[in-house]
Amino acid sequence: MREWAEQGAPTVGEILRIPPGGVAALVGPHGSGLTALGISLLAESSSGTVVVVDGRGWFSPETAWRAGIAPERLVVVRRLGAEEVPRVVAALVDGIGQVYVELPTRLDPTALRRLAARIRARRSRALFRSTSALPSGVATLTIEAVDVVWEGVGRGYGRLRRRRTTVRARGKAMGGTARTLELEDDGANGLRVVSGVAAAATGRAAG
Amino acid sequence: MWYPEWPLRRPDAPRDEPTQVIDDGGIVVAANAPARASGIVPGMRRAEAELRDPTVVTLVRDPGREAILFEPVVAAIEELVPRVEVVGPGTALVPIGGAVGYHGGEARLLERLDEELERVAGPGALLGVASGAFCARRAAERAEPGVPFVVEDDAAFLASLDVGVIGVDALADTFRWLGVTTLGALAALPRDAIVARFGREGLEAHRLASGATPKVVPRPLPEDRAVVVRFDPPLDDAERAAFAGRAAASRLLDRLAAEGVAPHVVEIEIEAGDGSVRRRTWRSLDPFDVAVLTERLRWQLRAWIEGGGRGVRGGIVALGLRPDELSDAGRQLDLFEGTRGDERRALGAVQTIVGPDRLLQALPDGGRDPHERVRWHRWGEPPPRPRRDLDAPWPGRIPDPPPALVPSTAVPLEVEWDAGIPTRVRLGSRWEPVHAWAGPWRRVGRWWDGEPTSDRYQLVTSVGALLCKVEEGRWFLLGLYD
Repeated sequence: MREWAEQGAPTVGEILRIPPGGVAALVGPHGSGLTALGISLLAESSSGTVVVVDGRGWFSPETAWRAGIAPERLVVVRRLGAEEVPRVVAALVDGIGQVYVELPTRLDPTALRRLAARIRARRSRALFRSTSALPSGVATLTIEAVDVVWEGVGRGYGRLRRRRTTVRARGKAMGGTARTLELEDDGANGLRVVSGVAAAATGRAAG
Repeated sequence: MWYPEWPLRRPDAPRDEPTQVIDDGGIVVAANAPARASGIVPGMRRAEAELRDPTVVTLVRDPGREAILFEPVVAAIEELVPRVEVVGPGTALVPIGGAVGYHGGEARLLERLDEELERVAGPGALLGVASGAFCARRAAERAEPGVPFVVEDDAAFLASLDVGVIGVDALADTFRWLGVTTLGALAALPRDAIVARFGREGLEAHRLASGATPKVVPRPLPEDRAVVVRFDPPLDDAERAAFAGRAAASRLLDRLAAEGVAPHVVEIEIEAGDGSVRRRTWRSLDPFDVAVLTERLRWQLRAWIEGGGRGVRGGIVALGLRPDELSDAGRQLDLFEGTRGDERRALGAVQTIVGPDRLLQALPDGGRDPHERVRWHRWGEPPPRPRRDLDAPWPGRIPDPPPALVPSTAVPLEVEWDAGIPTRVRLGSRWEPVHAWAGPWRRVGRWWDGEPTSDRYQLVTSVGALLCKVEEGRWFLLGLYD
């Protein structure tokens, strides 16, 4: 299935590694391909149960199955009020190693920080999908959507075939350097890294 | 029978200074009178307690030693009433039903019990009397030293207690949030409704609240359920004995799990080299698992081997474990095969918060639209069969890749047209130009059921791609390729 992996190219999960106890933030508008990216990061990192906390109830398990998470490994908590989400996630990380959370739009920054501290203490891995940047100190890895381009569709013909997503990753887990990645997704073979464009180091060089 | 300060009974505990004992998790489990005077109560975090009184002496709990010290107390109670069940160091359940007549009345028996306890272990014992184990334990909390607390009507006594005493924090919080603050209010709710909303844990809580003893489902079982291990040469060292005990415990529980049951009570029996036999019964509110049973076994073996002066003469030649009060709680396990224990517990906790209808798993199903190709079922229930044929060709199926976000009901969408070409789509408060599109893919609905004909479109904008449906001139969002 992942023939490119054998060619020695680094996988997305190898470049965007979420350490145990780490929180990765996926920041960007819906439609930028971050759900597929987040799910494939979890699929690569473990063989245990993956739990998706989805307040709105829009998450489609088909994406997870395509990414390599078998149906019996996937549990979804659906249709939660914004105030229920932190409680549910806090209870989950007591025993679940990987949690994907669709964050409600308005969430108290204090509650988020407390949650991140709990995830750190329990050494789980969590992905927070959000349309706006998270408060500082929550995420160890921030993945921002930069661009999304679809191939295969014209003006009234064809079908969606392949998506090229550009994301920028930064944060403690990236060792202090920001990196821009171009990913390709045809919905069948998982995500493929097209180019790991090395980006300028953060901060300014003197001299 | 309960000694609230039992963890404090150790040689290194200072007598007059404020002292607290914490468990591994840093939670205070016992505090002496001077510590309590400055506001430290069991259940508090260590840091919080030290904030109340910075001079407090903190000791870390050692249940093994506590069990050793507790052994003579249990032996003394057994002189008066047989078949004492130990819940943990400092707490024991004494079935007095039969002994009341022998000792000439309940009051006389309690008096003798109190005297005996004071002689062996000194003052501080609290006695609570009730019909059920859970209720008796709560009654002991209300008792004063020397004055037993006797509950005449279990249900009436429990009705006044806070829901927190059921011991499952997440569940208690949810009950409080729903306005159910006392066990009485909980017991008054219809049992069916509780089960529908909270599942098994809810049922257990409801049973406790109504004063019913944890019900044990009698199931026909082969008689020989005890596990007996013989040792040659005899074991005389507590650690080695505990190690052997672990193997015996897992053998016992594996055998029971195969029959779908788990014990609430286990009788531990050893035979010493000199031929003497000792027995002790341990009880747990939740069915025993291997970790818990092994721990109890280690405490008990250490208590026999290292405590009480006599030791075990000639070493342990045989160890027997006899389960009792089997409940079918263990039967659930097969459903979650493949899920690890801590994962199961965490998901169980979430289920108590959100209810069974919002914690779901999914299986592929046959169909054309993305939402048709997924079949949801409750977590922990056997997966259903697909409604529609998975391998059928499904002409007109939306081609791969599937959208990652699929609304459960089609969401109305605003799209602008120009000469049969979609030009703009409204996303939130903004209008996004449509760069490219595919479709229309005509779907002729089941007209005999009154289902209208509709068209599918894939629209590509600068912020992503959408799957849409046009039905009777109106646009709906079917999926978002995220």
